[in-house]
Amino acid sequence: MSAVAVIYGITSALTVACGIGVLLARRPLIAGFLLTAAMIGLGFLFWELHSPMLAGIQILVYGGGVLVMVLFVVMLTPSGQSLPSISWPWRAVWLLVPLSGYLAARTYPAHAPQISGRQLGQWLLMRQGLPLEVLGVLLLLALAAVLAIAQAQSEEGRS
Amino acid sequence: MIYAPALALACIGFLVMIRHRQALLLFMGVEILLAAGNWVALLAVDQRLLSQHVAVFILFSIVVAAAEATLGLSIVLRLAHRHRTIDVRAFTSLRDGGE
Repeated sequence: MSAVAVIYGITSALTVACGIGVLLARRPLIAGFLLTAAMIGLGFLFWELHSPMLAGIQILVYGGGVLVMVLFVVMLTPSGQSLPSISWPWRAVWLLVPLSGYLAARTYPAHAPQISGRQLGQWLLMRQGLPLEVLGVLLLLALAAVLAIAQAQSEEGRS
Repeated sequence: MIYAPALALACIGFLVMIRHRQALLLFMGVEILLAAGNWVALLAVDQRLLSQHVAVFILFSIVVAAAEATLGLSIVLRLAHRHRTIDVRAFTSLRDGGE
């Protein structure tokens, strides 16, 4: 077992542990921070799987964008109350941490092909032009829909 | 067996959705589930699929998940403003004026 495989196993175990932390957290804010840690861990896993570009996108979009939004919603909604305590059988999920770490280290794909940013950019712009445009339109529509929902909310609050 | 750690993460996301009743935590469960799906897709590169196909699939998945989270969280904000709670059991209607 190589050193990279061991690091991959440890990262995998830590990511799964952060996911379990979200499951067992008693406060939504703590769950949000643990989700951020899990997404950053997943970014490191992508990097260890020879995809630095996808790792960067994963950390930027999930760790930097979506999670900041989630934390804002935690602050703006009445979600501060503690969640009920969990029963003992739920704690058995901690067994998944060493199990997933061991399995990840044992099955690490050392010879996986590298997905560089240059390859991805060329493939997207030269061969996937239409889907890329569709994605852009989807994001624009999502932005318009969110603005419409927020607008309706402010009018509802005023009336 | 190569997919087992990613499947464990997907199971955790599913358990988060089952256990919690707060809309925000349900979204967190969905995000974990989608991220685990991306991990499975990246592991599939070595097995059957070309790396570019998988990379484009993951890129699209990340963007669609971001759009879904944006829309979903704005709806949660609006429902929280109306019902003063984000417990999904309190939401019976998305329509304005519905209780």
